[in-house]
Amino acid sequence: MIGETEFPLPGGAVRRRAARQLLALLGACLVAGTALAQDDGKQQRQESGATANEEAQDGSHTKDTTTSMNMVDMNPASMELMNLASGTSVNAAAWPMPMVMTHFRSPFGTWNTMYMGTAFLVDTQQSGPRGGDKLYSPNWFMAAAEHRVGARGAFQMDLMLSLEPATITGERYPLLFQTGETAYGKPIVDGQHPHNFIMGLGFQYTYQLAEETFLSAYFAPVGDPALGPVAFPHRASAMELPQATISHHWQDSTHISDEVLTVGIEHKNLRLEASGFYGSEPGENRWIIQAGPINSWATRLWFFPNKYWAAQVSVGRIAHPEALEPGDQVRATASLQYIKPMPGGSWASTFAWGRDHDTATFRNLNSYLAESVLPVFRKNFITGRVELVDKDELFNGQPGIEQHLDVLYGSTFRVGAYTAGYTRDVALLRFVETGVGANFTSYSLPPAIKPYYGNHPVGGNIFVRFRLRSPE
Amino acid sequence: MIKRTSMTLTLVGALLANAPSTFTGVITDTLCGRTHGMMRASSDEACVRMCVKGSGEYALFDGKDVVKLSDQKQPAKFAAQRVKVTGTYDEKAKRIEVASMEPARDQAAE
Repeated sequence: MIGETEFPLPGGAVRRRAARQLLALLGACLVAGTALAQDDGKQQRQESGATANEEAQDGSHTKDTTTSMNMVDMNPASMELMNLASGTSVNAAAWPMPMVMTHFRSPFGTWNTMYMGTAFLVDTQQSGPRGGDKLYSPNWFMAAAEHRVGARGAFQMDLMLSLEPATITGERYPLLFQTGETAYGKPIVDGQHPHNFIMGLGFQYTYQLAEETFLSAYFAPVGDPALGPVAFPHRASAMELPQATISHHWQDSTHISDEVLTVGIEHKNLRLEASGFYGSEPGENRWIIQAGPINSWATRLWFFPNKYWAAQVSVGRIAHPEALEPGDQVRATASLQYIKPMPGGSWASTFAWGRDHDTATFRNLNSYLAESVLPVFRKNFITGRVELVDKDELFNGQPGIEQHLDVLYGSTFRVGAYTAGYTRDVALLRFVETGVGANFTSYSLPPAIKPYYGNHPVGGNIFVRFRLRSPE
Repeated sequence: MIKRTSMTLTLVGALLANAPSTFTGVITDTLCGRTHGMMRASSDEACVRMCVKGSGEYALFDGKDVVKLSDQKQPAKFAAQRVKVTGTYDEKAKRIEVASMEPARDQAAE
């Protein structure tokens, strides 16, 4: 187990102070987003000619099913940009992305703004000799501003922040069988790293070439290249699961990459994208933006049969992603997502496959994921996730055990994770979807590694969830 | 006898509660709702169609409320037009269960 006391970081006090200041800043952003939305909501109701008094008298708001989409001066290219999830990835179009929308006018024209944010407060318990427990908070907040450029073009810039470097102490939270990245100079095993403070900073331009043809260019000092499905923090089917997938580093781990450049063309229900980016995973200083050469590439093909389905296949070569591991990774992924609008939300499901080929060890490691969230009776969500992942880093940093297992059983172990969960919405604030929930994970593992994990390792989480949303 | 009468009354009540009504209004979408100021240089019809391609759904704006429609195929023919919808309002689902839909020619002429 990695302990904070083994590798004390210099300047810890400075980091803690910075964390407090940034926490205040992010809190202020959330409050400002909510306040702006409330002001604009009033303005919208006045513009539509329905006064608050009228609504109160006739009770019309009880029937109204609009989503307060308070946007102006848009064109089809704007709509393309508005549907993006992380980088250039998209959930199926039928999914109403939870966000607060408003607009403002400036000397440079009208800007539509979108605010998205999710924060969980989680208490986790992971069983066995390699488990642990922790109270932590995964969270992110995103602000995007979109501006129409001429009749056919649109520009958007977005900033995504996370306070996880402060709210996930010890540079990790316990998650059995999770691997990837480093903390205090050692590989993280059985734990999930926090995301960087700046999760995304990107600029995108889209131009409508023809009625159903769009050309786009995306540059992000920190962003998400065209590789993999929508990353789990932004994926519709993962909205009620605070913890990461253990297949994260097989499928969507590049969602925080540096120096991302992507071009794409969309025609009807197909979209082809190509990216260049800096392949190294984020370093241990999670408060900064790393910089590096564009030394990795990826390409992705999307297929949208209709607005309820989104499918992608992608492949990329990631140059030296792991700081402590030699070699590059060649990653291939495929995913299929289905969205069915229902009262109280959307039934969202994702199936994904990811394979990493390591150029140093020549290993091919596969991962499979099925994930779903189902709204029941408007305020209840039942969720589930099943994963099968080939793991070869579970004993990194323990050369004795690694060598022993390698001689007797090999170096790769297929692990299964089976999660079921439930969330109950409790309406506390108009623009914040508040809920309480819990989930439980049972793992399957080969007998060879049971002496290190126990025969029946399990994990559990109880949590409170806060998510910005447009009021119904 | 009393039992039979009460059962009959219950049945009639249930039938009356689900009796089809007529709703008249404009076919809109759940994103824009009452007005279509969102899209620049586009007709209301184009705006509705664009929104429904995304997460929006076809709905009926009767001048007061914007109510979802169970049928999402018929309204495609009447985007941004006045229609007469026959169906029942499902209070729980907050939507109109559409039986039929036709252009509201008489009111459109007004």
